[in-house]
Amino acid sequence: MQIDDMKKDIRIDSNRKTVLKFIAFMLLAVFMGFIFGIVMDNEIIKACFISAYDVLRQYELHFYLVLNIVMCSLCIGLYVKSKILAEKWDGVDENQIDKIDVYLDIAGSINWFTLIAGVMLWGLSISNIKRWADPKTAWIIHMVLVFFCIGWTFTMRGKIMSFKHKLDCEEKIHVLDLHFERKYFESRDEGQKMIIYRATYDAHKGLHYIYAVLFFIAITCKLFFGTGDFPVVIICVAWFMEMMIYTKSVFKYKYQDKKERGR
Amino acid sequence: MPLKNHLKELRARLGVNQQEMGALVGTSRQTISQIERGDYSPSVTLALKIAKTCGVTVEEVFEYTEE
Repeated sequence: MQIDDMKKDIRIDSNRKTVLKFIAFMLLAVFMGFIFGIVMDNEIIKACFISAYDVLRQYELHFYLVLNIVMCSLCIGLYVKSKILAEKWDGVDENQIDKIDVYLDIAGSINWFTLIAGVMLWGLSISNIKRWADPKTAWIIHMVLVFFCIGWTFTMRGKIMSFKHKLDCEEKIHVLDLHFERKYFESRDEGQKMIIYRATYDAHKGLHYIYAVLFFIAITCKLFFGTGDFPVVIICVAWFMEMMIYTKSVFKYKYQDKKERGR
Repeated sequence: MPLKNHLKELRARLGVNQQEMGALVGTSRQTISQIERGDYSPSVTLALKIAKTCGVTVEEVFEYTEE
């Protein structure tokens, strides 16, 4: 009975905290939306924003190229540096191998960010293709660029992964393998899987806040700049899909295991 | 983390690096590193494997402390 009362108290206390946190977050989001709206309504700021946006739209392909060249150089630099360190490694110094791991992880992250930012800039550029004097040439330039950039991204990713596998004496899984994600996850041991679980849960938790903030920004932009319903709908659909995948996975792992145990 | 461990000392006594220790217990270098840092509490199976490899009992490798 005492344990039940204790559990009930803990539950009530945590519910109160959650409700308070939720209300505080909603108030903060509304406040941020208002501030954003007021700031964006200012003529000077609006002009700065629009001119910055115009510059981005005018030179998006240039930005795309510069971004890829800078990031590719950075990735190659980190990769070469980690290779040099690995050659010098005596097999005992743990700090050095950790350093190599950090370099490779940074190179891998840069690779991902470049791919996502690049896809956005390339998409913006291709949606603006009509402004080119010769659309045919524009298409060829866009295609060559995208193949070049995706090519270096995947080549670099493959190199990083195979170097990591070699370093840890693990079985090599090619990045272009259709089941790469599944095979990679299955090849991890319990400690490495724990990192994946934690990182994935943090990403899932972070996405909730990001979607909420994006939702309010989209609503404010709709109110002040008339950006339309589309961004709001897209954010809600993405939010819904993310939650659906999470819930489906929870049900899958919770009840499938129970079923298997019952057999 | 209430679980302290003496893996680093035991590994030094065996004269193996993290990679070799990982190979001996059938896990990765990163996991051994995480356990040594106290960032990760291993499963019972892995804890038993580590103790067996080091030739000691689990209690001699891992120590539970009330915080």
